Amino acid sequence: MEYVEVRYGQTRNVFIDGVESGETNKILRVGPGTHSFDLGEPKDFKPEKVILVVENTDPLEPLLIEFEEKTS
Amino acid sequence: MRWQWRFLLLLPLLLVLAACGSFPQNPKLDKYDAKAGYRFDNLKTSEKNTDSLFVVLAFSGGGTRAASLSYGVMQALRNTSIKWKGKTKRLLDEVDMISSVSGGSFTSAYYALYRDGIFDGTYESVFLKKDIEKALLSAALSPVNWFKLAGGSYGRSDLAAEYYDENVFAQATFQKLIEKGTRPFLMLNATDMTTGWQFPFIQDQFDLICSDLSRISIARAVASSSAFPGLLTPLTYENHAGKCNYTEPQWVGFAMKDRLTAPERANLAEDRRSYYRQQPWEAKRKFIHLVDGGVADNIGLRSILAALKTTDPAYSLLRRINREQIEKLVVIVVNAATDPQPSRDGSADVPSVLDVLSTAATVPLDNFSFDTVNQLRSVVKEYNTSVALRKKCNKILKKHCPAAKLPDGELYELDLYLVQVAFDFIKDPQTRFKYKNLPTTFNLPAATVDDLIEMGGKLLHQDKDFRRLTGNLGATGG
Repeated sequence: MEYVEVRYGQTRNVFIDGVESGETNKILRVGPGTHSFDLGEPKDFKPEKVILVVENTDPLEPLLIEFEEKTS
Repeated sequence: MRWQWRFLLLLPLLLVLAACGSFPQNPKLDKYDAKAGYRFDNLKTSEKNTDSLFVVLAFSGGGTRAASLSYGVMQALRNTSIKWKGKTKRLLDEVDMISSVSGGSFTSAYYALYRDGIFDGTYESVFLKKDIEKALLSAALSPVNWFKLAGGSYGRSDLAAEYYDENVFAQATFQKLIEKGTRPFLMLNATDMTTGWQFPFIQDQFDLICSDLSRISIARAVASSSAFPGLLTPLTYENHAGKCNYTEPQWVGFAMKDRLTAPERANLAEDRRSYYRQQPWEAKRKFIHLVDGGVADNIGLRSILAALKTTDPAYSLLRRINREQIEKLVVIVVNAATDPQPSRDGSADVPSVLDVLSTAATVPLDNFSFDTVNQLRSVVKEYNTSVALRKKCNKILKKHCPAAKLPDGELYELDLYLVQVAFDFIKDPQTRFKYKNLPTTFNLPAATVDDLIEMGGKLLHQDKDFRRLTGNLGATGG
């Protein structure tokens, strides 16, 4: 089991591999391997999505992924 | 000349019978629709069956022995009254998912189809206490069926499927389960002979071969799940892949890159692609041959494990846990595995070929089952220790540096229960020996069936985690 936290200025749904799988600013559990992360609709955040290999994390040191608000 | 005329008159009939001797076609799926068909997400929650208390059952193989033991557990769950979110209900009503193989698949399928009807005595008379072996043998000896069996793609399991269809499952298809629209979600598991992976009878799996599960009979699925190698034949399904615009989930593409970081995930992705995306040098998979689910996993736990460990499966529990939908998760494993004591060690004779082959076929399976349960234990432990570790760290921080706090967000705490029903847990050694030496057959004496049903309930109530659960839920009865 791996641990990931997707950070964003507000609470939003987190999509892992295109499927709604939790919320921002909470530690989420995922299986090891390559995953994509995004915040779904509306697409008012950047980067558009993050794809990375999740491995060697633990509950005290989750992988941190940061999104920020997209300014138009 | 007279016999020749008779033969000529009979010829059309014989030709018709021989033509029947091919496997029943599994219907093609016209258009892939990720939201239609028999899928976990299409079964609704209700006040009666909540997500917050999530109960999963895994039923092992083992012929009538396994079917009876799991039936006993279901009876005990029916008789256990609990209080959850202010409502009094039966624990059975909170069952969300049943994954089963072989003998266990009869009980799970019958319950999914008839719900409380399973307890009205019919199931016991048409299956548990019926000499199914004799019935199947009679069918095989009927001259009408000789012609069918002579067809290359029609085997003894097809005949068994017809028997179950007529006599146990009343010709119901998966459409019936879709129409019910409520849980439990049934996963009848067979094994794909070529990949060696589980082949669950759910639409997410049938999407891979562009086939419409809703029009397949439950009896055929159960026959596939219980096609014990050697005694029964594999069942054939046509692979219609490439004809329904199937779109693979994102994770499959990613997983193909994970050979080193997540080999199990990569293997699963490769297995899925073997149905619809083959390399030019690979043999075409026009047909899929399914055998007993016990060949891949004899306790029906692998699908549940995957659902607990990853967000990949369509029915992922981890995803639901991350979304904080599940407060209490209960996994009840009903394992009817035996450990028959052979007579071979009483003699210096070289064991027979049959004995050696049977040992080679069953021992690795038993060891694999043991590892699977251990894996589940590890997963449960990891869920618990991850939260405990963060709590402990916060406590230390608070003691030495009251203003400090762990920098990250919260990790959701889940109340997990792993309940095990297995003959290994029978306390009295002599009784344990008796149960662990029961044969694997579809014909057990009625008294033995009654004993197994009773033992299922007894072992359930004896389990430490089950007692913790019922204590926490203010349970009565059983």
